[in-house]
Amino acid sequence: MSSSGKKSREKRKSIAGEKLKTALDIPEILTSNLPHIEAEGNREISVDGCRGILEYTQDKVRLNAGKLIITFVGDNMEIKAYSEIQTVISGNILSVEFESQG
Amino acid sequence: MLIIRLIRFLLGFVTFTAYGGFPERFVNLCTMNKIPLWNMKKSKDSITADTTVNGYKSIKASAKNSGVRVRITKKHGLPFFIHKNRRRIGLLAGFMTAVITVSFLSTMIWSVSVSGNKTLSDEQILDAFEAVGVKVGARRSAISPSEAAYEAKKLLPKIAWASVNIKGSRVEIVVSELSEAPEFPDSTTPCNIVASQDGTIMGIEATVGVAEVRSGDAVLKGDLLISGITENLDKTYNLKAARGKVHARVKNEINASCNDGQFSRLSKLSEQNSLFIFGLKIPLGIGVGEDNVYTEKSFVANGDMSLPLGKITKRVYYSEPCEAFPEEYKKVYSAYLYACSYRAMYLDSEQILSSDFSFDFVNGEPLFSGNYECKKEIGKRLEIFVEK
Repeated sequence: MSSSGKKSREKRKSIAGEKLKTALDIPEILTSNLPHIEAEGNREISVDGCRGILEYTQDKVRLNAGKLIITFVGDNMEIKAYSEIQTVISGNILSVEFESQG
Repeated sequence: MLIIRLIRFLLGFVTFTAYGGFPERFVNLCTMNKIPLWNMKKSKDSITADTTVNGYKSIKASAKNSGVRVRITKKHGLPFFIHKNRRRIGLLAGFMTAVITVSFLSTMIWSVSVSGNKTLSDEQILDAFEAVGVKVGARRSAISPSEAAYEAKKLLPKIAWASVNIKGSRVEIVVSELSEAPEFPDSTTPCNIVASQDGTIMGIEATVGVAEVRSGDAVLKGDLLISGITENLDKTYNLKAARGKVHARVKNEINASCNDGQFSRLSKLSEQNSLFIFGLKIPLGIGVGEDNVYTEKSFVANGDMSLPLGKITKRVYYSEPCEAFPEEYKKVYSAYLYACSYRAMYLDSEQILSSDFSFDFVNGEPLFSGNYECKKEIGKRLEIFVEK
C-alpha cells in the first residue's frame, strides 16, 4: 500500500475514533495519548505518561511525553521521582513550554 | 509518603553519583531496565540519585551504555546498619532484652483508675479491688472483670454496681453508689412532739396531731408542742403518731479556749522508703511498723497516665506533751478555734438571727466566747406509753 493511502486510512480512523468518543461521551483523559500534568504551585509538578528525559540541567528539564515535548525552566530543578508511570519534578519552576511532536 | 520511606528504609537504598558520559541517556536506560531512581539532583558535571540495592547491582549495564561512571556516596537503611554492627552482640542482646521486657510487662496492669464515686474515696475503692486481685502488677489474663466487680461489691455494700474495663495495660473502674432510701417516719407508734430545748416559737406546722402552742409562745425543754392524742366528736380519744415541724428562736453559748495541756510536739519521725516496680516492693531501709503509718506514693507520671514505677514512703510520727507553747502557734490555734466554732454554729442552725462574740486573753491564754440566737427545728418525738 502506498504511503498516501496509509495516511488517509489513519486519518479516517482518527475521525471515526473522535466521532465514537463524542457519541459515547468518553472523557478525553481516558482516550488521548497526551500526558497528564499536575502542578502544586510552582514548586512541584508531576507528569504522567513521560517516555524519557531529553535534557536535564539545574535550570531546565526537557521531557518526551509522547505527542508533546515539555520543557520546565527554573532554578534548582530536581527530579524527585522518575519512572515509566510518573515523573515528579521539584524546584523553583518559572515557566513551562510545550512543543508538539507531530 | 511515610509508608514508602519506611519500606525503603527496611529494604535499604543507596545514594550514588554518576560522572561524565550522557546523564540523560543513563537515566532513560535505567528506567527501561526497571531500575527505580529518585531524588535526582544535577550538578555541573554529575548527577546524584537514590536507588534500591538491587537496582544498583544491575546499574552497570546502563552506566556502560551511556558512558557514565557511578560511585556510591552513601548507604541507607536497616540492612546496612545490621551489617555494620553485626559484631556488636551487646546491641542485639540489648534490643532483644528490651523487646522481651516490654512484651512481658505489657501482659501486666500498669495503672488502675476510679471514676463515678461520690461519697466513697478512691482509696477505699482501690483497696477493695486490690483485695479481689485488681491491682498494679497483676496479670491481665488473671483478671475476670465481671467476677472482680461482683466480689468487690460484696466488700463495699455502698456500691450499686461496678464495672472493670481493661484497656491495654490500664484498668478503669467505674462505680455507681447506692442512693440512700429516704427515711419514712414511723406512723404506727403513738407519740407526741416535744421541745428539745428552750426557745420561743416562730412557726408550727402540725401535719398529724394537734398543735398545743402558737407563734410567740415561750417553751421550755420537754414542753408538749404537738399532741398525738386527738379527741373525737363522740368524746373518745385516738392515739396517733404526731408529725410536724416546729421552728423556734433559741439561744446558745460558745466557749472555746486553748490549753497547754492539750498540745503535743513532734519529737521523732521515722521513715522508710521502698522502690515500687510493677507490683514488686523493694524496701530500702528498716521497717517502721504498721501502727499509725502515713503512706505516700509517688510514681513516674506523664499527665494523667502514671507508670507503676516509683517510690513508696512510710512515715510514723512520734510526739510528746508540750508544756510551753510558742505564742505564734497559740494565735494560729485560736484562729482555728474561731473557725471551728463558727462552722459548728452554722451547721447547727437554719438561720443565725443575732450573735455577740468576744475574743480575749485570760491568764495569757486565748479565750473565744459569746452568745448567739438562731432559728432551728426543736421538735422531738416522744412515744406515748400505753398500758395494755
